[in-house]
Amino acid sequence: MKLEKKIVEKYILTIGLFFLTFYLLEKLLTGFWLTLFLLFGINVILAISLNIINGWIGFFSIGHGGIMLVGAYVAAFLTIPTSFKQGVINLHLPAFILNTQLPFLPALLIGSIFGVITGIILVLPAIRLKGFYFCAGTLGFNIIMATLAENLPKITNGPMGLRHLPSYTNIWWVWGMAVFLAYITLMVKKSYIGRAFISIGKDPCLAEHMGINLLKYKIYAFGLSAFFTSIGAILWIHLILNLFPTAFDLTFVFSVVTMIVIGGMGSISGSIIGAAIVTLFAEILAPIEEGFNFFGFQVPQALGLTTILLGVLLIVVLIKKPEGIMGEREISLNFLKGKKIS
Amino acid sequence: MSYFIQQVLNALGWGSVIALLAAGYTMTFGIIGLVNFAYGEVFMVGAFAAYFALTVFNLPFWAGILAGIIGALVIGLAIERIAFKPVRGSGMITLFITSLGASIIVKNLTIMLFDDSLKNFKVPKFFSGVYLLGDIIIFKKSIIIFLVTIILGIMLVYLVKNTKLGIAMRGISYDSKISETLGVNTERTIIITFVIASLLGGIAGTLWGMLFGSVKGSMGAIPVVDAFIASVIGGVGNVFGAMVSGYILAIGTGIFIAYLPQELVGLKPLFVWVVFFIILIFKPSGLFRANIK
Amino acid sequence: MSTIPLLELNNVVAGYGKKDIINKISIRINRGAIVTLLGSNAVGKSTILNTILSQTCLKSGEIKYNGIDISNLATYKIVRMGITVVPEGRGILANLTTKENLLAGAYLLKSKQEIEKNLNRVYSLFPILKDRTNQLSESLSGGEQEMLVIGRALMSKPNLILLDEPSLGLAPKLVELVGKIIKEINNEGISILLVEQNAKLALGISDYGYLIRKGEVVLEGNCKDLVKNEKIKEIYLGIM
Repeated sequence: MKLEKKIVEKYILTIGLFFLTFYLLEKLLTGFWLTLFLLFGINVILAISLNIINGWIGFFSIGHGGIMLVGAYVAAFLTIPTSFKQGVINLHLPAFILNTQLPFLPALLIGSIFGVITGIILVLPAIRLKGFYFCAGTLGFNIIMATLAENLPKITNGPMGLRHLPSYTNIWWVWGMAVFLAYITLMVKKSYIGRAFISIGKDPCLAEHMGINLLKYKIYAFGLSAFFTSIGAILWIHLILNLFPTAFDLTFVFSVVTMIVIGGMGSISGSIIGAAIVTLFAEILAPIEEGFNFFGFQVPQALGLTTILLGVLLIVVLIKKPEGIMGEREISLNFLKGKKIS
Repeated sequence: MSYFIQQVLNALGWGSVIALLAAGYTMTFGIIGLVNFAYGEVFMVGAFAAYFALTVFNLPFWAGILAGIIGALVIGLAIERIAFKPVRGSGMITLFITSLGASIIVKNLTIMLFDDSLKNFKVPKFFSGVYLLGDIIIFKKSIIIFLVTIILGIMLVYLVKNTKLGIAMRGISYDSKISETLGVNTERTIIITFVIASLLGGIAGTLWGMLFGSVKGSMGAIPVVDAFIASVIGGVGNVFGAMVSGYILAIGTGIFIAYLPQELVGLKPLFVWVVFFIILIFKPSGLFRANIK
Repeated sequence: MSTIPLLELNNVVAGYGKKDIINKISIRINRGAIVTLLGSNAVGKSTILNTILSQTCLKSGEIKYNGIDISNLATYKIVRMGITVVPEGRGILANLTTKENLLAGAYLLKSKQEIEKNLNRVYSLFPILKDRTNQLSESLSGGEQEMLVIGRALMSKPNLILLDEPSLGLAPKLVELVGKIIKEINNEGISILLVEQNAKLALGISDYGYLIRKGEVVLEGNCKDLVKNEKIKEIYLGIM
């Protein structure tokens, strides 16, 4: 009994600490630093979600862009104020969507559920494709969804995109979700489900012979991954306040891939580290991209510099340390747990 | 009926370019299991090199083609040495990721230096002109490109089937270790394969520029996907299959667009992906005999 | 006859990654000899062959062929110097026919007449291959496949053939046949390095033998002496 009380106390303490940190950060961070921190959090969410598929069950997917598009568009339909939906944009959506505007949480959940449905629709035929062909199939999925988004203006407003998204994204949402996701996945990793995922990734035949129902677990994995990927995407669009069909294109997905490769595919702490590195990298390079004044010498714009250097970074990591920074290990949090239960 | 024929003929021009790209693509795919996403950039750099020679420096036609080939060769081999050689043997997925990285680097570098606008490609005079057959229009350039591609195709198929090099390539794609013990110099064969593929990419890029009269930094993105799907459909490593499949995809897409309502024309890229999924579900080894097990 | 051995390994250490599979092995093959490496499973016999061909990492020591150091030469160069291999598990090119497999063995030859001549020689050694000449090689029986890869190894007229467990999975009659063929090839002047688990076969046809255990040579000698050796008898009790 005493031990349980201790664990509960530890949980309350940890949650309290997080609350306090978020509260302080919200007060302290502004402008550039706030955006940076929010970006970091969103990248963490996206990286960990992608890792579940690419790192754990070993299916290399670059198709999360399609899932993100679906989740984002659905959520956007629900959060954009009705005045804009009806008047400014000529959309042929069902009347009840045009007439309602939902608060963030329901929109987030509904969008993510649609994302999950998309993710599962993606996985069912693609399951039959082995190894590389699956990867190509996900690329196709991305392209198909983006093409649809761009060419069905009655639904998505086509290349013009959606605007007037309310600015819902803040530290609480982003980092609350990020911490929650990190916690869940760490728990899952240690649980039977997580080990099932990883065994599917390492040796699917063996996993099957050990009684793991491959299809069931693949669906779980895709569902989980798609859910949080959509959340990440929805948080993103409510930060930048617009949504275009190209929002989650190959370049975007590629940067998430870079995060998990650098951090180590299969490691959650690795994804967090990878997200940190890539976010910092991008933000440091951003002003250089704009072009700047260096002691009176005007350095010209270098658009796309971030992406280029990210690509270089990816190749270098794959050549020198392909398992990433953390490989498959996690940062040990044993010191937080206190005494081990013997 | 004549509308149908018109669509087919229209597709012959760019179908030829795709067929060339597919041939180059399937060679590296078959021989070292590399799905080269950066091949689109080899194609684009070839086109840009030709563009510079012809439009910017106003050199004669043959110099344009030469520039295209050399440009593609340089970038193709550079990418091979930097992004592929160091990770050879690490599995298809790793090779694919590095090719993705290389593609993004080269593409964005080009856009950074030259921006992503359409560059006007100077087309030589003998390329322009049309023939009329009833109410069907045949572009002279389509015919020329088609003939060039067929000739190159015949040469390639001969190379793969009848020369020692072709045997070496097929041996390596089947089992590189055994081939090496039969005396095949795998390293050199692989490099030669890349040279041939880059050459094809450069020619394809130059022809594309002449066909459409313009090039742009991001032009490689869609053709490389078409080339990839054509290789898969044609049977990995099968040059003949890839080229035929390239034509099938182009003509199919052309017909698909022709019968689409006007506002859905943007759905063009979907056709090749639908074909891709259908083939993978019903005949994953491809329509023709694949070269590797 | 030259006194330099055709092939010599001196204190060779090799393995994959951090593991050393063979540890300071020294082996000598004289011109025209049949030398056998005996030992049970997974003692490193195949690794020795792979190291000779540079397909496994040589960590220290040297390998000399005809006095020339071939320690880190590329595989295809070694093959071009006159060493061919009949790998473990046969290594047929399954998607090719019998004849195509044999022709693949002649990859290095340029003269059509020479290739034709060698092909006929292989057919006379293995008449069954001539019957199956246009059949897909994967449809051949185990014994026929073994003959196919031995034939393939002969096509380039090598000086030295490395044979990795040719008797594996074969019925006793075929094993006898394989032994006879190896002897016949050797009589034409081709040296043989034979890796075998089947001690009876190996000691029956070889001139010199090495017993390998855990990556090291524990015993060596002329085969007529090894046959009488107590240790050999002890290890191969029941197989002799």
